[in-house]
Amino acid sequence: MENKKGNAHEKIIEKRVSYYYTVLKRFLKHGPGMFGLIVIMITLLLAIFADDIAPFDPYELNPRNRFQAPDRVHLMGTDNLGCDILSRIIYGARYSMIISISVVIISMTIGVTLGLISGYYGGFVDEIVTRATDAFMAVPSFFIYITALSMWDVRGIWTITLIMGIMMWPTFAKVVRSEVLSLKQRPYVEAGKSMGASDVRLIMRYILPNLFGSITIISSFRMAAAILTETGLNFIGLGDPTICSWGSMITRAHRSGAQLTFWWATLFPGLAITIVTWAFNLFGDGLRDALDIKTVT
Amino acid sequence: MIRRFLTLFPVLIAVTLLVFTLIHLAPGDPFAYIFSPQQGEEFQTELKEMYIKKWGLDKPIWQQYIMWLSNAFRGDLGYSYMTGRPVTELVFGRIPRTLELAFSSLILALMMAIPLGVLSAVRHGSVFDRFVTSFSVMANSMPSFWVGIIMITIFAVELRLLPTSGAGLGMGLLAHLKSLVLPMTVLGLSRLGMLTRMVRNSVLEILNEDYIVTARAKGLKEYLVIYKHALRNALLPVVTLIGLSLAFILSGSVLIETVFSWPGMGKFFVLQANRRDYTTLMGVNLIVSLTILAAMLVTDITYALLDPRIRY
Repeated sequence: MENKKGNAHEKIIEKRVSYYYTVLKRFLKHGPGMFGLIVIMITLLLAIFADDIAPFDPYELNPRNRFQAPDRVHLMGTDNLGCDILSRIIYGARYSMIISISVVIISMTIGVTLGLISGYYGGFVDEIVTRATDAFMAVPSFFIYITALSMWDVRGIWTITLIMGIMMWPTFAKVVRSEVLSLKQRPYVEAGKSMGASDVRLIMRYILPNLFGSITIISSFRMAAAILTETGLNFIGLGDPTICSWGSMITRAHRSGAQLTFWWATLFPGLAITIVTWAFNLFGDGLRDALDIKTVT
Repeated sequence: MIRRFLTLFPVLIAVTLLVFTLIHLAPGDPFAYIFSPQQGEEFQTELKEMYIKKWGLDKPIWQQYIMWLSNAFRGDLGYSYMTGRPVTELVFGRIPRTLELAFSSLILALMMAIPLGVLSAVRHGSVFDRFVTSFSVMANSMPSFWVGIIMITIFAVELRLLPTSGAGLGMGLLAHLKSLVLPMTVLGLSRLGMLTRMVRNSVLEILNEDYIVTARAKGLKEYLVIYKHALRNALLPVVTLIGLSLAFILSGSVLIETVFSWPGMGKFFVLQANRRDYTTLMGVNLIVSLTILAAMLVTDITYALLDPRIRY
């Protein structure tokens, strides 16, 4: 965001470096953004290698060990069924990541496609897509999730993922459309057109690569939103009851009345959600500052 | 202005169509939770047939939608399948509690967000600014219901300062306000991060304008530059935030009302959703969308009134 105040003569002898190199350099200097990236990396590693890292089986019930306070064996204590909370948090990372990554992939595919088409072709198609985007943005999405999930009665993670993916595309479409509108005016796109490049080629090779930055930023923010929404739905009782996700851990502790005396059962899963969501938000911010993109808010 | 108003209708139609299809194409019927197992099977089938006829569920789905829509335009949202009472009565009885929670938390959030945002923009790049920025991102990242649970644990259970749940003027104004404190704070906190950040960005943008440079160049005192020249313009976009925040806060209130057993619309909605109460679900979705659209419209109009550069 800040302007680099360099002396004029330094600017002149500066070596020519690629755009991505400067962006990378700027990002590496962005403290919060780097913090976010590191946390995201750790979370992904936990999610992938959960089987090797988790000290206990997250589903192993141990009624004699109920509500054990954090100690050396159970670093974060145990919950109302005697399950090790640390292990459940590590496995929970897996579900949180699977759900939110899938949600982002679905909504990104829909949103970017619609944004590209409406921004590039304009006219009637554009009118319809813009209207639909506005309509979807005015929809109280949380109410729709509740309606859909309770009516369709299949509480699997894929139902949740699908409905969230379908509802989250408007941000992608809006940003992509507005960027395409300005990109298609650029001289090199004109040049490509005059050389006889087809519409598909112009969109895929001339315009889409320039959207990489903003799409990554929105994806990061949407990841954060997806994690939070999934936990919220879980709390209402619309999550998948068979898996251990961070949301279901809080819900389980809350339902058993544990939060009153056994604080660790609610505190740690909530902290995990907060830190990972925070990381995705910080990463998105850092990337936006490094790329200096103003269209994404 | 009229054009702006007319754009509301397609959105409303789209929303109701979406919700209607979601509900009526879902497998199963609304009867799953209506009958108790004690009632004989024969009796149940007979009742079912009667209800299907009465509610028009045997008609094609598009006909049902048109019927619902034309009734809704006349202010009739049908009768709740579960309780048999008019949906409008059920919902409007609960809306005041939800709006009370929503507006008080919004006011609280704004009262904190505006000073924080302005200060951190004015001291751009300082430690304070960095702290506020990171904090607002973090406040944005916390699951509100979890914060609610922790607040209940600390303030209601451990310190015994505030009640854990419940509300209603029936228990006296003071007691009611006391039970409002926790849900209001938690809901406000969930929006605080976003608001602070937007206030900050808006002020930062204004501070780079030419007329601020001019004001400084002519030797105006810094606080005059900020209060007389920058803030008046910077806080205009904040007005739009109020409208946009309402959608977010209404969604958030579903969770907060559930945690704090707040007798509002959100909690009622969750309860009826679990019982497959078709008409109530349709009604609540319609009313919430209407509220959000109305808030956006009012925001646009206020904005145009406040800022003479904008005309619709």
